[in-house]
Amino acid sequence: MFSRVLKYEFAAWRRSYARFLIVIGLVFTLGCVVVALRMPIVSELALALPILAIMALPISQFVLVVVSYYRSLYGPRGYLTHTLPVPAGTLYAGKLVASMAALVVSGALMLAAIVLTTVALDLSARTAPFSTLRDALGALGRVPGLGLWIAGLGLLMLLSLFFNIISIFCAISTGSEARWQGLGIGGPVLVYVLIYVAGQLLTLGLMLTLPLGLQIDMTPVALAESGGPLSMPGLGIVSGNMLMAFWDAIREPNPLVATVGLGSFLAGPVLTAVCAWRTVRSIRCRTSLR
Amino acid sequence: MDRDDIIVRTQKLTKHYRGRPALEELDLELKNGRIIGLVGPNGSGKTTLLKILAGVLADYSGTAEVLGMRPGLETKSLVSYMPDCSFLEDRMTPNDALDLFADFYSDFDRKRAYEMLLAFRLEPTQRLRDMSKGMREKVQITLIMNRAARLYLLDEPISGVDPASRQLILEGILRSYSSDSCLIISTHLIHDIEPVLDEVVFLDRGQLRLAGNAEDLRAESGGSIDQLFRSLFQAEAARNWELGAPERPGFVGRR
Repeated sequence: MFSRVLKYEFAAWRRSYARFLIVIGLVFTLGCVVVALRMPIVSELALALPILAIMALPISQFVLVVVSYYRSLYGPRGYLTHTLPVPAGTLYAGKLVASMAALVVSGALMLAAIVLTTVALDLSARTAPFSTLRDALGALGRVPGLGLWIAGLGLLMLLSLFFNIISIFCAISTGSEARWQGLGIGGPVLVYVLIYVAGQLLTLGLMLTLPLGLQIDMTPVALAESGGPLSMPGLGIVSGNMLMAFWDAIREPNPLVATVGLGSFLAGPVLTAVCAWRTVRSIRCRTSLR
Repeated sequence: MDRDDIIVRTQKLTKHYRGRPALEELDLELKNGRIIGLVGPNGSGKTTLLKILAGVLADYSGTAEVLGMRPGLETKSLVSYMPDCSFLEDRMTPNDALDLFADFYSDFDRKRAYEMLLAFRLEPTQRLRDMSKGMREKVQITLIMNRAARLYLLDEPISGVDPASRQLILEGILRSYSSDSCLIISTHLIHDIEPVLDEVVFLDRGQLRLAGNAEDLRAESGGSIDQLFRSLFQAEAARNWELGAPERPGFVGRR
């Protein structure tokens, strides 16, 4: 059943996004070609087109995912979705996986578009294609640990996207229940604000109570700034009273060695699990279509 | 009434929308093998009742049962529900919709549905957004009625279409309906559906006003169901108009 749900989620995505993707693709290609042609003034102005297309890709995809979730469950199409003999968890998982896949694909397209834009700029500057990219990758190899940091940041962004999608879906489903219906679109917005506030409180609470911390040593960065070799901050796990570490961070905002309570990293997964559970419950037994 | 024959049962079923009652302690028992007309003026609770039975409206009080079960996942494979709006994506074609139903409903007869589409003179590859309201309703009727469900719930299936199409849609419904199931049609176009009804349930402001066998009701009132509807609701509307404020209707019904 899950594969069937996924099949129709992707079909719906293809139907709604294909035309938009073609338009973005055309704008991007036109911009890159004009940039590469080295036309005075026009080429410089045309650089705005690929940049706009690169920005539009993930933003439009994100908006589409959110709107599509709302429409397919709480718009007129919801009458079909909610009468399918599919368990609420399966329905939800299908929507989540399809949404994440669509966002990852648009992220990959965005990276590809960035690479192609650098190629267009190389051509425009009469340098060898991919030379800018090669230089950037070369610099990456020269700084110890930079690759790991970039990979870590990428993973963090992906996780953050996942948590955000789950909390937005939760806000839409819970905010569309009967008790919030009088507020219209204000219901999901209000629930999202509540989830955000709960997330902040949970982060603070877990950060201060769990006696484990991530120690970030900024000394190598400070040395690099004063003329030393380029280097990334050092990381380590420490145990101790995180309340004190928090107090130290308030007293000294820019220390060379800072400790962040590891509990703060738990808040995301905990809140995500609660939101996912609450969303499935809402779909299963609290649906109230207008 | 034989307990096994009962397909829909509600007890003290109540649903309020922001304090305003849509259903008020509704007690109802509907038997299998019948075509039932659910009639009443606007705001009488017809759509709300069908939504609850279809499992798309959860926050009610009292009891609602379909084949002895609370509306939910188990009943969804037994109930075929057509809401009073277009529930298909605009970009879909009838063929896409048939594939979707065939994939999700094991009781869906795709071949028969395709033949019905052709009988309705619909183009299976035309996008729904390019179709008229009547054509879209025919596509939805095709999907809903070609399931071998135990309970069919049709909410205003012929509203907004021309009289010739109404007749065609009703014929399509009857052709697909099997006598070992129950079909509930909600409408205020009583004149058009009256010939096919076995039973009629009159709702008024969320309460049961009158219910019974269509033949018996006609015999007792000495006119058609349409005339009975007019006499019940027009007279009251006129009285309320003169008095200035509506009163709650008394229960006149039989079971």
